[in-house]
Amino acid sequence: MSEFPVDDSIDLRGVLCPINFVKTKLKLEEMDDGDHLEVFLDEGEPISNVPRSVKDEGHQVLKVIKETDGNYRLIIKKSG
Amino acid sequence: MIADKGEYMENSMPKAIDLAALKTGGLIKQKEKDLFVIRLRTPVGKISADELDKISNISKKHGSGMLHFTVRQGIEIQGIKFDDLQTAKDELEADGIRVGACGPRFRVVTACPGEGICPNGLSPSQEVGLSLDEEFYGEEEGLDLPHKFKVTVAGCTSCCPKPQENDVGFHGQVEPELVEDDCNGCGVCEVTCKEGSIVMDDNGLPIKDDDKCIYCGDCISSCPTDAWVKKRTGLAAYAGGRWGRHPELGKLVAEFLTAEEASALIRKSLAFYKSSGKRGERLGVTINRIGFDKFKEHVL
Repeated sequence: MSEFPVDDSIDLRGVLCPINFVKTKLKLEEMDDGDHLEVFLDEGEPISNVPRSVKDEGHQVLKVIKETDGNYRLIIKKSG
Repeated sequence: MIADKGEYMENSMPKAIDLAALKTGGLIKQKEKDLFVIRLRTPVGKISADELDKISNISKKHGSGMLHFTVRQGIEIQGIKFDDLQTAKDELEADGIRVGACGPRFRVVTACPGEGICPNGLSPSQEVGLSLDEEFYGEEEGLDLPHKFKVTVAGCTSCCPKPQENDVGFHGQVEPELVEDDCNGCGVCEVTCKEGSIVMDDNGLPIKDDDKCIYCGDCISSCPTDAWVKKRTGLAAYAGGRWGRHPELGKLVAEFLTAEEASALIRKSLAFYKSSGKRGERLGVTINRIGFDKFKEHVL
């Protein structure tokens, strides 16, 4: 499904800002440094805001893939 | 305002009140007999918890125990008896709390939290606002104007403190530039750009339409790979805005100013207003009368 192997996945379609970011943050806290998290997000505000907030927290956004249904799949590398 | 009641005060005041100080404003008569409001000078709406404690104590000691937050980020202590006015003012000043402006002069500068606090911030609006307030508030060039003169600094293009409603207002802005080698073609910038300025081309690279770009920087902050970078940052300046009975939005005067250039723009705008403004008219009315292009010639 992805060129990046993922260690965990979270589906945040239908979850509003900033709850989607908070859930992403909490999930990343459970993971180890260097792990890959896959996040499913709605188009619109979520895809504009979540990658930015994840970046601000010091993690790396490895890939943003637009899905056929118009939503997005994000691969995040936990850093620090 | 108390300044209009000078004669009444001089004849009836029970203790010495500094009439010269009244000219710088901040003491406002309430509707109720013998009660006054003291308006404080809290530039950019920033105040320490310790200062708030001191204000709270003065309010409980001399006022009604109530405070009012003005729409321009000021604090007013309500219900101070006329007899206590000077004492309250002296005690505030001894505590390092400054009294603020009303009347036809350069007003206390407002600002949003700006970069460093707000995730959208593009400019240090607090620092710029404080510096402008220090430079012009209470100074000769900002006194005895035709009418009030309001200045605000917004950190970004969202313009929360409403720069277009001020006599002179600023907002932070950033011009983006793409480092193609760092772009992975994800398209987040295309969906993030609210202006429709960015479209992905056939090679999967974003193409920016400069005519549509408003320099908000959303493409830069949302880019997962930091391929969009800051080419230049600065302040956009608007002049001639006002609210009140006949509102009008300020017009764009200049873009990508430095803080020093913003200060120079205010200095020249004040000089223009002082020399060309008629008593009682706001800067925007003066500009409409004399012409926006002529105003720009004066201030740029």
